[in-house]
Amino acid sequence: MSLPDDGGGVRVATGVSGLDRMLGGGLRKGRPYLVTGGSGSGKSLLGLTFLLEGLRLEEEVLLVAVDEPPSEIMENVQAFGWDLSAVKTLDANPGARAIKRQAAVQEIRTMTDLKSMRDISQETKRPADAEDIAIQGIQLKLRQQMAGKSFSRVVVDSMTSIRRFAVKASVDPQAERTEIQSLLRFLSESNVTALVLATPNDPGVLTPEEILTRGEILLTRKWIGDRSLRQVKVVRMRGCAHDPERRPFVIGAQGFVVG
Amino acid sequence: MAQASAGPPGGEPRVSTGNAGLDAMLDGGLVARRPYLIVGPSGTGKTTLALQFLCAGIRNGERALLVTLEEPPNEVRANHRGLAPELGKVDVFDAIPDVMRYERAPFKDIAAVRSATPFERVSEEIRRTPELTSIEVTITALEQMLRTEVQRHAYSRIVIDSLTALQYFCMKGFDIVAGAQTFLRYLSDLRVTTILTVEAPLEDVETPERMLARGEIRLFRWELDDVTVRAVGVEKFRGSSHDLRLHPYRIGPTGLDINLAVTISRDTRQILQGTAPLAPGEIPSGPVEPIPSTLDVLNAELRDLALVGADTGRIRTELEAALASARSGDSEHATERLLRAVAIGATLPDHLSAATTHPDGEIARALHRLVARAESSRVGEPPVRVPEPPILTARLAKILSDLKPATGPEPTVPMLFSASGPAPMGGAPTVTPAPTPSAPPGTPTPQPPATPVPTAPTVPPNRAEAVSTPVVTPRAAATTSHAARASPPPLPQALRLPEATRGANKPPSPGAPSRPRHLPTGSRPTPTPTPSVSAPVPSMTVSAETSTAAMTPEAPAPKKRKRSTTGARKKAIPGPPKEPTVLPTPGSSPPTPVAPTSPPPVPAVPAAATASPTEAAPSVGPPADTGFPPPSEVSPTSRPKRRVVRKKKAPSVVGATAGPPPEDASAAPAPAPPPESPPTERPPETP
Repeated sequence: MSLPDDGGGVRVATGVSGLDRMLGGGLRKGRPYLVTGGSGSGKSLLGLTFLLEGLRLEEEVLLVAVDEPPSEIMENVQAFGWDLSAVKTLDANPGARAIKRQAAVQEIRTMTDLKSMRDISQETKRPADAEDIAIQGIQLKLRQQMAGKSFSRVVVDSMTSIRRFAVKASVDPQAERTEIQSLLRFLSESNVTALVLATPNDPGVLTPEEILTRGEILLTRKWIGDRSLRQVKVVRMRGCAHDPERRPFVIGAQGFVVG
Repeated sequence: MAQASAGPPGGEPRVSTGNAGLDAMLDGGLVARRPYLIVGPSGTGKTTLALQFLCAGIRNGERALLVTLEEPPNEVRANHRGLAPELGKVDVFDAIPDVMRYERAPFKDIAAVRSATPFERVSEEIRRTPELTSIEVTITALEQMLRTEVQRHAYSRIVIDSLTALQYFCMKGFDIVAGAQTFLRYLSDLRVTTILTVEAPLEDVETPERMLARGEIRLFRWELDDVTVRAVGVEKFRGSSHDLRLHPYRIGPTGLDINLAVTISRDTRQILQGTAPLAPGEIPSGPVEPIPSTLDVLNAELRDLALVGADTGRIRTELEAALASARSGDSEHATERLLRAVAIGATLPDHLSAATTHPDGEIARALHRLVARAESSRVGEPPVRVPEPPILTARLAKILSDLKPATGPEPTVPMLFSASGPAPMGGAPTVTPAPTPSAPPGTPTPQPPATPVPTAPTVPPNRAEAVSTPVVTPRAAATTSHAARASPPPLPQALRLPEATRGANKPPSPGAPSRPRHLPTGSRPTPTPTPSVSAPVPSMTVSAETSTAAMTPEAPAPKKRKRSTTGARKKAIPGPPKEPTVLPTPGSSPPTPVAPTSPPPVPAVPAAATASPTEAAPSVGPPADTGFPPPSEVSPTSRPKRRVVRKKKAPSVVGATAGPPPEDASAAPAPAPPPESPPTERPPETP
């Protein structure tokens, strides 16, 4: 690791050594970062690797799971032999939504508690449990939990889904923006290094997380003939001398490996 | 750094932006007391440029204020340590909204709660939202704050970072377009030189604030293949002349370093003039080991295959198709073909390892490398690093010419080149068929696939030149290359690693060179017959056609214009600095390259000695037909590397590594790291 010293600052290892090398040692502590990529590009896996690295260093880590129910995530990573049981999870997956009741929207904060992965049962939610999520609900929940202990790594998987599912936000885009701003600010103030996962948006649209995150890692996958080529690129990284090139990476038995 | 140079005659002095290059583009600097925009996607250095502007004010004895709405002040300071000590004197106003409480809380006006403080007094930690109050920043409150602060401290330079965040987070209930317009109007009434940064999602979106500002500095970031190009331009500057061109820049510790000597075209994004190399990025020294070029991998593969006596016909077919595509500028298709070639190569050793247990050390080693490569390419995708068409063409031609005589049945070869000999096409005046001694084209003897005789050697020196000579028959070329493109040979089944198997599942035992377990078991037999079967005859005819096609410069249907332009752009990159090493005089002694080039196996091979000089000969020759500049790849000095290392797996391969890392034109920062490092850094381990 021979990147020039760019002013110090505590670096947070991502758990992917090749990526850390591209970042000049890792992410900066206490800042939110954006990971973008299409579906299947490896965002969630990178997020989990990041959390596992935290576990390895005996940190408290949290997964805000919106895209997939935690039980599925558990199953998915069994192939890697990963033990996620110590990962705290906020199951923000909205479940099947009860369509008829528009009136009584129960926010996630009233319903969901943080759980360890090991407590997550195999069963999925019943429609009766359906609740809507809101960004502010997530923030408030986290605040409650943070009072007791401090997380040092949080992965939000994914912001795109939060935006899509959140009922309130879709009504008022400005409220959505400020809520996202508030959530990210909250994480920063709590000294949490966060990965916010998102699918790349319409190039003409600028999302609030793009403005507010301090860096962006882009995962791409393209097909060349019959082979898929995965590449990772550090699009921007504030205050870090970083590797500007695209690098190939592999999702294999060892997880996420940047070549 | 001229602080205030004379502007237009009779006008008042210009205000320096703190960036000498930008001042020059602005014909001296900004016109005082007006609002300006710095527009660009995030990560292009808007904040850095704006801070340079503030620091220039400090140096000039002025007072300067940063209103930050995106980055917390402590991070701004941490990220811009290179701008100290002036930055410490810049005042900063933290206009970032607090964490929302989502509950009833006493409302406070931001102007009453916070005030501007110099950076040197900003704490290392991020500001915490106070327990009881939480402040919402509104644009009206900000305007009020600005007015009082400007009156109190007599700021002469203000930066709002960013206007976009202001619109997004502080204009609840406003129309953000009208809000921005009002705000800009308000700023020009303040009579302070102001810079506002604007996040631009797209490079050409017209936004209302752009209409209103007195000037706009635009930062561009383009992704061209593997290279990121950054360029700065002055899009609009009322009341002054200015530089209309785009110039590349890099972000250094002390700000943006603009290269005025180089211009980038707005349309094609090519480098138009100037010769300085593009900024390779922010990394001064090399942190990351370069990835072996696909071509290097292929070359190594071919050599090893030849060593063990395997048939390389199918690979060659792919390579020739790739060459044809590269010549027509279609690097995408060329890449595809290259990958196919890699893939085909990766399947061969299965049969070989079963069939051949040869006592010979060289051959055993070659086998071992083949197996290791195949193994590593199954675990994941091969690293793909394909040079731009001009270089690709040259290198492919070289690889093919090295290969041809050994494995192919001979008759086709003379036919191929006799076609090319007589009629050089218009575009190639420079081709000077070197005085070619009578290297008899018919010498090499076709080898039975099983015999482990080294193949590459005997290349008539004239051959490589012949390959790069343009050829008549454009129509034939068109048809054949179309045909080639339309029906690429199907990949062996084993290569289609289903996504499921690639993504998540059982680890292949890393050490074992045997087949990884996660390959679909049924697929193995499929490729088995191919190497032995692939009759030289059909493959050779194909190759004849395609390489004829390859020789036509105006080959059919350059599929993507964009590609070809990028190719043209890249070729400009290796500028004069590299030139001397690139072009050795044709007279330079051929044997020189031998030392770096010859891979470990050579000594044991009797014919290798003769091979090396001839192999070098074409590379030394004058640059080929198509008007491409001398590709650096071809020169003997830079050519050597035959890196076999491919993945972090297969450490056994490392031993074979020879020479410096590959250096394509696209290898931007390509430092000089130890080639051996990749495998050692992360030894294969099962989780």
